[in-house]
Order: sequence, then C-alpha cells, then structure tokens
Amino acid sequence: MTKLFPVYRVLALVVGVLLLVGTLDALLKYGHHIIAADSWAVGSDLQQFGEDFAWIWMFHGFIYIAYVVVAFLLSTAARWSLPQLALLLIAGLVPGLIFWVEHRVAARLREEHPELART
Amino acid sequence: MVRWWSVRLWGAHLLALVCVGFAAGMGVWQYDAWQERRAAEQVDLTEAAPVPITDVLGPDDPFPTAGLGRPVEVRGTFLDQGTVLVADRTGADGAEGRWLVTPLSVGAADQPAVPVVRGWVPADTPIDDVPAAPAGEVEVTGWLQPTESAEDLDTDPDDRVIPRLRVADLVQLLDDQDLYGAYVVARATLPSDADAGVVAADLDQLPAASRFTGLRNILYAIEWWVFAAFAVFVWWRHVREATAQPPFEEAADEDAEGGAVPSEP
Repeated sequence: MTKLFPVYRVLALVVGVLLLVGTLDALLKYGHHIIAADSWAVGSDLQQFGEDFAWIWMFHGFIYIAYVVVAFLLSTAARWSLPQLALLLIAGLVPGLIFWVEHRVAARLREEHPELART
Repeated sequence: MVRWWSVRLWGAHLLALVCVGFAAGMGVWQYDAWQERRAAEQVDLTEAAPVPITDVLGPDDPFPTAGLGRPVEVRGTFLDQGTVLVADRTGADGAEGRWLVTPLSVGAADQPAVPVVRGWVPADTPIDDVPAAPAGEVEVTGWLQPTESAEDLDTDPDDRVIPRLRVADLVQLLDDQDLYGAYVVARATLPSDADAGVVAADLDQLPAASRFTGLRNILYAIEWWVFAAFAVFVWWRHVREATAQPPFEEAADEDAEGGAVPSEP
C-alpha cells in the first residue's frame, strides 16, 4: 500500500496530462467539423499537427494499461468495492476527471490508513 | 451460498461478456486495419513512378531490399540468344503456363543484361513457337525482382525451359554475357508480343511494407486485447470472491464497510 499509493498518484498524473493533451490534439484534428476556419481546415498546419500528434493516444493507451493494473491492485489492497474501482478506471478516460478522483482517493486512503497521512 | 450460476451473478457475467466482446472486437478491428494498410502500401509501391534501373542497382550489386517490386525502366537491346521459358507460372485466371524471358542489355548491346519477363504463355507453347524479341533499341518498364532461388534442378539443360528464374542458370545458356542479379517483369507486353498472344505476367513478389506502416494500428490492437484479458481477470476474481465461503470475521468486516462484494450466504 505504501508503495502502491505513490505509484498510483504518479500514473494518475501522467494519464491525466496525456488525456488533456490528447483532447487538445483531437480538437486540432477534428475541430474543423465544428468551426470552419481557413487556419483550421483539413491539411492546414494546425490540423496536420493534430493528425501527426495523434500518436499521443497510443501512449495514453499503454500508460493507461499500467494505471488500470495499479488502480486494481490499490483498490484490492484497500478492499474497495467494484463500483469504486470502476470510478478509478473511468477517470482515466474522461478528460480532467482523474485529477478530482485522484484527490478523493488520496483523501480517502489517508483517512482509512493513517500511516499514509504524511506521504 | 452463492454459486457461479446464481442469479445475483448474472449481471456480472453479462457485463463481463459485453466488456470482453467489445474490447476483443475493437482489437480485431484494429488488427484488420493494420493488415489492410500494409497490403495497400505494398500495392502503392508497385505503382510508384519508374526510375532507370541503373539508379537502383548495378550489374554486380546484390539485390537491394528497397528494390523489390520497384518499377524500373530499362532502355537497351534484346539479346538474340538466351530466350527461355520458365515453367509452372500461373496465369491471370489460374491457368497453367510459362513465362517468356529474354535478357535485355542495359544500355548498349554489349553491356550487362537483365532478364526481362516479356509475358505469360500457355503451358503447352513450344519454345520454338514463341515470338522473337523485337530487334533494335526498346524501352521496357517493369517491376524489379530478385533472382529466384533454385529449388528444383534443371533436369534438361538443352530444352531452354528452366524451372526457376535463376540468373545463374540463365548465364549457362549464354555466350560470355554478364547478367544482373535480378530480373524485370514487364508491366505491359511489347506490341509484337501482344499480337502473338502473349499476355502480361503477374508480379510474383510484392515489395515489403515498411516495418512502421500501420504500427499504430497493431499497437492499438494489442492494447484492446490486454483490456479484454483484464476484464476476464476482474470478472474471474469477482466470481471467485463472491462464491468463496469467507471466514466469519472477514464477512462481518465487509458488511461494515458496505462493500459490494456479496459475502453473506
């Protein structure tokens, strides 16, 4: 638990950032469907950048796999329910949500396991 | 006592089935996209703009990997010797046939030559009936192929029918003529050959797709399958925990915590 908790926090941060960057990338890539602008059209620099940078999702996928495994181990160690685990997992897929969830997880863990309070 | 077939676990079974089915399906979809992309790139390479053969390889060079299936141009003169038939080549509609091959000098007539597959003829065509290669300078566009490896021996070296298009076998049939270590499959038959009923030969060896083509798709496929496996694992654990007979204190513990894991009998 004392080891899992910091690993979880780091992974949550990385997944969260990748998710935000990925969302930004998707906006660049597909934004021309929402707002028609020359600087945003298909083949424009911005749109092409979004296209090329879509690799970010692949990295998100693999880091997310690590996150899923760690979240699973953590929720097992903390004896949390399945819905709680489901929330942890979904948080890695909804942009921004993971920061709030991570905060909550940290608070709950410190409450249930006073030995983590200082970490 | 909860058994794995108990009604209260049906929801978990169904959810697991949906998750695993979805993730595995997405993986298969990405895997198919990966294969399609690679096949498409192989075809794309064969449709690249032709370059002079001398840009891709020299007469004594080993075959370059990037040259496989590359369209090349050869300007030169067909040799008046060394026309052979290569046995066991399937035609467009799967018919048994042979390749009609004549070496073509690259540049002036005395320069090293490259064997050119002029086209495909039915299997029963005798070597004496094949149309002669046109005289004078010609320009042939075709796909570059590496010399074939000898799997069968030429049982009758005098009949000018060879089992494989192997340059070393071809050299034996020629008088003091240097050959390239490759051959070219003509993209279109020469007009004189077409009149004689020779049809264009199919490309045997397609160029290799780059290692990175569709890499993202195959990585996504792997990701999806990992998720499918994870879903199976969580489901299995859940069912095992739900069906296990917990020690008394632990069951009480879990009740107090309000866990979703059903532990009471």
